[in-house]
Amino acid sequence: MTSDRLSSWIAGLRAGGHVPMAEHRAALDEAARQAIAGVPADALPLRLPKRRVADLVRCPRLAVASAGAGPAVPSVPLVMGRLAELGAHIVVLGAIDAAVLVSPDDLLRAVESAGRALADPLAAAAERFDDTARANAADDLADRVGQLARSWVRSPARWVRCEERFDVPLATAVGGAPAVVVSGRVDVSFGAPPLLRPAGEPRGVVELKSTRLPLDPIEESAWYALLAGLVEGVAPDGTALWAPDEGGPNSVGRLAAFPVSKASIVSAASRLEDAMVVAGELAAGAKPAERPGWWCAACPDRAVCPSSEGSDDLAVPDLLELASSLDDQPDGDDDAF
Amino acid sequence: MPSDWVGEARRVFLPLAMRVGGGFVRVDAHTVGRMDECPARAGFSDWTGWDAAKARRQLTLAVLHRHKDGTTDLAAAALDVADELAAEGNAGAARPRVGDWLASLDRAGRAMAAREAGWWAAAVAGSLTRPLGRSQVITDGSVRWQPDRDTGLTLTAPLDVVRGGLLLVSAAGPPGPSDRHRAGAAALLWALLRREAAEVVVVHPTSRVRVRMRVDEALLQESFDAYAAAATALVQAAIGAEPAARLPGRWCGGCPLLADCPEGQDWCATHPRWVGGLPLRA
Repeated sequence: MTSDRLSSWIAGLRAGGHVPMAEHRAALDEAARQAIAGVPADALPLRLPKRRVADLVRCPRLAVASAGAGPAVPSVPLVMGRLAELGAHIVVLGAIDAAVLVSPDDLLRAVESAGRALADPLAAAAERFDDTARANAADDLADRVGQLARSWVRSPARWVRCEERFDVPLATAVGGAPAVVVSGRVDVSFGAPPLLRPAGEPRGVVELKSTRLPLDPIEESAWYALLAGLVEGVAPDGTALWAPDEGGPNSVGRLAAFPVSKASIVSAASRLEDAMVVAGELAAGAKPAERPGWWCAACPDRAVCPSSEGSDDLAVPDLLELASSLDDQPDGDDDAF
Repeated sequence: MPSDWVGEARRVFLPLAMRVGGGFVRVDAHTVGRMDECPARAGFSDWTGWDAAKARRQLTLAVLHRHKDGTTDLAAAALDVADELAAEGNAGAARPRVGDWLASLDRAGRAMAAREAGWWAAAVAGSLTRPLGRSQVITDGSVRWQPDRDTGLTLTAPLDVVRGGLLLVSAAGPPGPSDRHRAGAAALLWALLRREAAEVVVVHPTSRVRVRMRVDEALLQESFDAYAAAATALVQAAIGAEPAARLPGRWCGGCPLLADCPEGQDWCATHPRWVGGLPLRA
């Protein structure tokens, strides 16, 4: 982890990693075929966004409970996370004046406007804050988005897009539909599509965290490299995670950047295979196993799951990571268009 | 199988159009494709106005229309095009089109519309085997046919780009059986405009998958039959002759009609619910 700017990392990124994905895709197709053996057709396709993959690997009961939970209650941390995300996207897309960035109230209004354009209920919740909460939200937002703006300044990236969506259909079920669909969204994606990309132009993806970096950024960055690579046929040249920090008014946040290697792709693919096996077993009727851990604190079944008793005593790798994971919204399954 | 598709379509759809008269019944491909599940749900419109996701396709097509040479950074162009459309739009329009909606937004709001179009445009471009060049971009994203222009019955289907006899349709989500329906819908309505298509390519930008489908009589007939059945049901419901049938199934869980649908409620109470393949407890 460094205090480098995102723009510096992008400027230094070189094309040419070119980890080919055909072999990994073939292996995942085969794993998907095996995972759905015994799964009723009504249950297909198995849909595996990032959050569900993580839940399935941690605890099958957590995965089922989380899938059945309703929309998240718009708590202040959740709302602030969404506002910070939207503010970051406005900055990355170059749609905000410097004057707005130094005026917390103007910034909050701009971000709320962005939320209205998206019909985003979480962002809309900020409009119901009282005056004190709004003032706090504006200051908090100005701090987080300001750090991103200082990190992104004069980015040399081309074809910058935000919230790019990836779907990876795996294997084929009866009727021609995919057996498994792995999906995800990337906060920042850059580099032209392969047909239109000049030689030497790098391809990279960046995940922006609204509070802090996760404890294991390598695992998370490998996930995005796998996803983009499976869709595009070649893995990106680099991945990075960025988060604000406590560094004060001139901070540029924290950056964790990683090259994409065959080993990182293998690791992420292996994790996905594990998740597919568990999802297939559950879809075929297996009783969800209970594997208590620090994640019990955020499990919707916490109050009724016998295994969660005493989970408060289990090792929590990093309370801050827990806060960060709670801050994330699960990836949706919708196909809005 | 008919070789005169226009004549056959007028024979089947004109009586329906006469029943609609000055009313308005739109039979779109999405609705047609869902009639096999539940006609009541398929015919129900939950449109509440534009948002960035709903504007994504049309704004993308505006971007592609302006930049067909294959050298422009389409993601960066999306915000400029959103600004241009907003400048031409009317924020107070009673029935706003996408440009009117963009005109009602400030720059941050338009940035979110551009955010959606930016990645979609890049993904569509990334799904093509060569730049659009002289292709015709259908900027409103659809092909329409009316059996009679003085009545309110309209058949529509998504259509993005035409290049010679090749039609291109972009579709959300992963590839699957509905691609044949998408291709057939575009090819049929294109044929009803007395234009020829030899092949339809359905591109799935989020997965970069391209599905090619040759246009033949079987594809057109399937689509014709599906539109005829859907139009009949929708017109009957619209004029109050026969309410749309309610067919419960796994789609009931998220249906906006569920609160007023005893059949759907009963189905939900007696069947397991699946979310992404995971069975939830009843």
